Amino acid sequence: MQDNPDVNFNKIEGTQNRLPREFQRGSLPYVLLIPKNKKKSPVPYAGPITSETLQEFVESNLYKQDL
Amino acid sequence: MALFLALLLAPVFGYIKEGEIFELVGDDLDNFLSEFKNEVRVINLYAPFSFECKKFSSTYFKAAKELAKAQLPAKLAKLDLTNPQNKFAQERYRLTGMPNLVYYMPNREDVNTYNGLKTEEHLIASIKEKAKLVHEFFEVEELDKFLEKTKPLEGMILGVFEEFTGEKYQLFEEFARNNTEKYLFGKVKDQGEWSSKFNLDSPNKILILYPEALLTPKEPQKEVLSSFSSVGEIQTFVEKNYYSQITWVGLENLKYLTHPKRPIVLLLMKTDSKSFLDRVKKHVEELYPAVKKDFRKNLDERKFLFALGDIKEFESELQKHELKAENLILLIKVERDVYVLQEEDLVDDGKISESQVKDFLKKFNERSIDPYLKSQKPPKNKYENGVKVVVSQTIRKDILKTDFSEVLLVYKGNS
Repeated sequence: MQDNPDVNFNKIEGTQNRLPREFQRGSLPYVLLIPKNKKKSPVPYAGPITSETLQEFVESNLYKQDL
Repeated sequence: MALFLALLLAPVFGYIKEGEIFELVGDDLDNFLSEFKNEVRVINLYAPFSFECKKFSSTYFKAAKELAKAQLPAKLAKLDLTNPQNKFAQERYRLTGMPNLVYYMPNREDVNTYNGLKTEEHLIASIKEKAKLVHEFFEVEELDKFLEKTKPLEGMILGVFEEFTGEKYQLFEEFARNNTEKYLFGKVKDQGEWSSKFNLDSPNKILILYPEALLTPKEPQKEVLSSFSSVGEIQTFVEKNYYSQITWVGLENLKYLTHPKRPIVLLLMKTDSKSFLDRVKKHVEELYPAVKKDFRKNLDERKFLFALGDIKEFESELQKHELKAENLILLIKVERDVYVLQEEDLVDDGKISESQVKDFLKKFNERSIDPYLKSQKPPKNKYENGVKVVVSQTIRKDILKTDFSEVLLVYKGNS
């Protein structure tokens, strides 16, 4: 999935960095998808963080967007 | 803050203080009364063995603390009547019971007994009411000294009147009565000396005197309201002019700045040294060139309000944003957000850097800087296993301004 040219993967340490309000969620860790055209409206990911589930989450959300 | 300054700058005799309360022994009483004669002076006359006194002293202590916060012209003291050095006080006050609370009104020598309820709430309300009066000054030097020593950072609204009667005087009193928490008021009876001091053609005028330490070059030292026939006109005059200069603010009176939605450029500085007034002057001089473009416009057309404040007093406010600052920091405060210029960027060669401040204000106006967020330093290695390591400082560039969709893992520790 890291080959997907449209999506970048990032991480940030959440106790040493304060996030902009729209990126703040409950307890750490969590994952947000920040769609290209809606940077101020991140989509939170709920579920176990594994590469398969993440891939599914990203693809389904981006796919929805493209419709 | 005002109290702190007063203690720092006024000629302080060797009082013992318990919290905000002056403990008076022997000559202290008369020193206390004369030193603070412009203020309401309250004295708790007590005996340590009395249960009633003990009970009241904790109420009194709390009330003093609360009143100090309100920064009113009032001083609270206590005097132990069983101390042999205070024997004279028993005769002076001809006490009938204890504890006995007495007070003096500003600039008066006659003593009054407090007859209200001895609860914290009633006591505070009553003293506040008494302290709400306007300071009266009798001599030009007295006013100068007061402004220079006691309230060196506050502006004053001064009523100059022929007599303390008449319609204009009543309007002034009414305005003052309703605004004592916002502004510092003074009044003088003029027989020529005051109008000549202030270059007035006649009395019955209201003046705003700006604090000398905060005066920027080319700004007038005072504004005069010559004719008025309603409280509303006084209000308009004051609101237009009181904060037109760089002002000194505390956490409390920040809310009184007249344009609450306008961004406030706030320079916070350390105040715990004797030379701090000189540093205030120095910082105003350094700040002025960077801000004068905005400053020369009419108040209505300005983009910013400018103020200085005590870094300690604003500590809680800084903590809210997880901001640390020890000596100096420049903030732009807009509602809930702050934009920050930290000391290492603000100061260059021991001085506030004109170009840095200008650049900061310009970027703020262009909306090209973000509100302050606590952040790690950007890492040396931007990628770990193909994942970009982002910190708050770089979120804008790395996440918000890219042409890609971004997935962001917000984690804790080393995961």
